[in-house]
Amino acid sequence: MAVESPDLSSKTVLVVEDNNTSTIYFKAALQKLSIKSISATTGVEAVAIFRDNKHIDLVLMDLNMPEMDGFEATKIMKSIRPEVPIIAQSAFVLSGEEERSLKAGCNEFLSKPIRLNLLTEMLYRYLK
Amino acid sequence: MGSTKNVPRILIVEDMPINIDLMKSILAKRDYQIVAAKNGKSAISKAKANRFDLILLDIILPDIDGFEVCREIKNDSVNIGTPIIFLTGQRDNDSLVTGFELGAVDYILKPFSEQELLARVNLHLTLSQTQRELKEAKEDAEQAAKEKAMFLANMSHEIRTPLNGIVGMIDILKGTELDEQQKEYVEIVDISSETLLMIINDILDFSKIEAGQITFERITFKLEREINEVKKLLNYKAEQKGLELIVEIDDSVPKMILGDPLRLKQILINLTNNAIKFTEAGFVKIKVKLDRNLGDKNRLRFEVIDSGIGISEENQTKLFKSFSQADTSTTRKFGGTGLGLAISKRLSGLMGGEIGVTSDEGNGSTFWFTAVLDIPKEISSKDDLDQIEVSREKSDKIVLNILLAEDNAINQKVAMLNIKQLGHHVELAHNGVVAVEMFAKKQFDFILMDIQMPGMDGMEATKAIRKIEQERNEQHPIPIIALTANMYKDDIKRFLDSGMNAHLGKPFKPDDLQDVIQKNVV
Repeated sequence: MAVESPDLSSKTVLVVEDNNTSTIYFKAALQKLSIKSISATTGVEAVAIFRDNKHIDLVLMDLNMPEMDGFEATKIMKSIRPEVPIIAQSAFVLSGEEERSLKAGCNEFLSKPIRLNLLTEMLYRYLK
Repeated sequence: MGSTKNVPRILIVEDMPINIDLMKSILAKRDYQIVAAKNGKSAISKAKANRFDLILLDIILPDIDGFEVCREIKNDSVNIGTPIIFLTGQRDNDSLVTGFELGAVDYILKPFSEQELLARVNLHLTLSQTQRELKEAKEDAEQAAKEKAMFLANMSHEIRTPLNGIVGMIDILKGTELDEQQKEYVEIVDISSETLLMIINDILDFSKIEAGQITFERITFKLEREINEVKKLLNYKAEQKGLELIVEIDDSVPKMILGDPLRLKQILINLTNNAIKFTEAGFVKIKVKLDRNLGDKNRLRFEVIDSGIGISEENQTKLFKSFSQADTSTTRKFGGTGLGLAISKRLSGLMGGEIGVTSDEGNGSTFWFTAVLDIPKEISSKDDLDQIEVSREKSDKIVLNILLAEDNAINQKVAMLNIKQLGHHVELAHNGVVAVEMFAKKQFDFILMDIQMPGMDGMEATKAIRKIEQERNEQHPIPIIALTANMYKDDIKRFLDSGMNAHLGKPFKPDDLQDVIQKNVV
């Protein structure tokens, strides 16, 4: 498969992540690909932003968060706009975590740490 | 354990007052607490209310017989584990058997001697207490193992979270303007964090195995291809050290195998990686042969032979223990968790095999393991294997009408070239919607379906095709093969769930395509 860099400057990604360092990394990665980003630190906040902002093209979803976890947030988002891809990302690699996230409606599951090339590949795949 | 300190409580069930008094007087010589019941009903109600350490039960009672009493007591949770000794006036074989079947541990023939009664009571009290303690110890150990696994899983999570920041920012940093020295430093941080991740994965893997939490997949796979993947993965490392990495598969080894290719590769990668690490010059050879045919299973022997430094006999025995390397200076020189061989040992054990090493210090080593692997049903004997070869030749001559659904122009060209090379006829659909339309109108034998297509993707198209087949009451659904560059396990599962028969990685070679056709065209 030819890897060209598609123009993603019109795209917006919602980064849902409670760890500040990870948020900085994801936002830097998105910026490198000229993708706009919005961030949320809890499931509740993420769902509220998602509901109001119709321009979100993809969600990068942490699974373990305070208030409302990523599974719950995914279910709600998929009931609002099911066509928006949600990529789960978690540091929990226990068996079942991946399956649970896919069942909740996530399109993919990435386990942390996530290398930039894998993240880029995923974004290209779902945003092009 | 409180029961050890407590005075043992014994229930005597006996209708004759004189016998009760006799037993009480004998048992009073030891530190026992005695409760007596004069009939079956009273015994049952006493046993329901209190836990006893032992029950002496007469078979003949005025109301219900002793067997029924025994059954009732064993049916209730309070005294389910309490040893019951029957008291009987005659050695009647049938009733003794009935008693044992109901869960009694022993019987005492009346009249009995004082020593016998004391000895049997003491024996069964000790036995049942030991049993209880063993059970508790086992439960404690299982609980501890579970907690350990849970703890390690949590720790892994805690470590992975900051590691995401480290690894991610290294990648971002690499994309900025760096001078040569800075590049080198970043490279070192990168390698270190990869090593750290490897260690965490090893520890997690090991604890999963210890806690019995790993499962093995059963997939039919081509052994040669998996071994070559190991070679492909490690060839670069070998070349960097000027080593030759050789693969040698004996003709006796079956081509197709049913088992878990990932776990098999995990062991092979581990052994081969070690061999490369500890060999300074010469070669590393991966050798596979048939160890033994066990009917519908085969035991295969895998060997990783190197021309390295060798290992002394004393150190060989230490190798397969957890957290152990030949000596601590090895750890400093070569790194690693020391868990690799311990993991490999357990994995091969779980696959019904063994692991070992033969080595002369200074003369290289051979690390070997065996694994019992199933032979796929359709080729359960050597005759059948030959037949498969024959039928393969036959099917080569059948010209299939293949529908290719693919949106990318370059991929279209490559795939069509491959299909034509095999002598098949191909028609092209440039997206999912067209593919479904073409399927509805024309007769095809086989569909190759790209997953990512604009409009309707491969999975949706597959679902639509399966629906048409259902409406037509189709007896032989058409094989649909997913074409994908991504080989994520969950993706593949989703492809299959949507109604596809198999998947083929992109880019594929004519051989791969032939393989898939072979397996899916009846």
